[in-house]
Amino acid sequence: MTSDFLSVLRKLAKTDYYQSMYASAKELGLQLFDNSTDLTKVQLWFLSYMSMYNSINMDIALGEISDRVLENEVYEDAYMVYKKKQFTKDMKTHKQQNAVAPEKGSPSSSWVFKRAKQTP
Amino acid sequence: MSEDIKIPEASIEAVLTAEQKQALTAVQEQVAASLDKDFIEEVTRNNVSEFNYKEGVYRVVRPNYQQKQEIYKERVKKFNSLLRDKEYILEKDLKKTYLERGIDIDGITKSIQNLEVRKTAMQIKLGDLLKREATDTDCEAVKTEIMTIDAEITQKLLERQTLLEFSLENQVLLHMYNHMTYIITERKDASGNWIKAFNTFDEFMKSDEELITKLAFLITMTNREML
Repeated sequence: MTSDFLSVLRKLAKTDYYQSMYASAKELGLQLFDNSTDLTKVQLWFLSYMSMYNSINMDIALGEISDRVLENEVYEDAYMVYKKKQFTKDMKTHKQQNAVAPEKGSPSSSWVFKRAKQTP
Repeated sequence: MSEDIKIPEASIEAVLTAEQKQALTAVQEQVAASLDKDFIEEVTRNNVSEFNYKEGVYRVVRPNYQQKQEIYKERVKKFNSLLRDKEYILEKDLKKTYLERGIDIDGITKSIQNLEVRKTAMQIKLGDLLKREATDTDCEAVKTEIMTIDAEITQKLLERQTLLEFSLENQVLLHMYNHMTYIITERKDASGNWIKAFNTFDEFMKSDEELITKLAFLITMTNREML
């Protein structure tokens, strides 16, 4: 039941109309729904699907992936999972490359801790 | 993953009676019939869902703080009342009883998790194939595998849901949703004002099943939080 509903919802989000609406909302601040706050579960799902298709369309335009990815929902989902995984991997590599190892012999902290002299 | 759990089919059949199966199919058909694009577009447009039913115009609104408190109180009341009733059984006790009969609910959950891990791995593989512009045959083979895993997950989720349907917690949840539907449904009166659609909970429970199904569907779709 819910999967049928979601299937219709993502088909709507994928349409040229909603894709251009989403792009306009992002760039010009156009309001997508009658209500601007207090979004429902369906509205949040819809937003998330519009964002997903926007991201795929952007990648197609940039030549990152061919438009075959839009052939079916399994391809679309698989590509998004792959993309997320790649992003996490890239971020990890980037962090490792940017991490500077401390020089040998240098103090690990600029703070100097001194113990109070004990009186006999 | 199928080697992890063996569920005797006869036990599942015994849980769901013929009438319940029929009722479930009827509800699914009703909901499927209402799943047209225009209806869904309408539901997404606003956080208030308005629709015509027979002679009246109904709408489902998001509960305010006071209504949420009222629903929560009703939930606590129902839980305490069922807890004293020996005919209802807590989910953890129901799981124990099933285990004695050879049905391992936690095992089903574990196998669902394993399937999800396998699905993610397959999705990454398919994503990589698409990125590298692999042949249609290669992509389709992985796609078929993902769809098979998906079907297995759905089947196991349904099995678990059916087996746990009669737990005390589920009965409380069902009652809470009914109560919430009763509280937040409104109807347009002759002068165009929105009024409470049902005067009492009994009146709500005695109303058309088709109307209740539609309202219940809208409420689960439009509400974000579990109360």
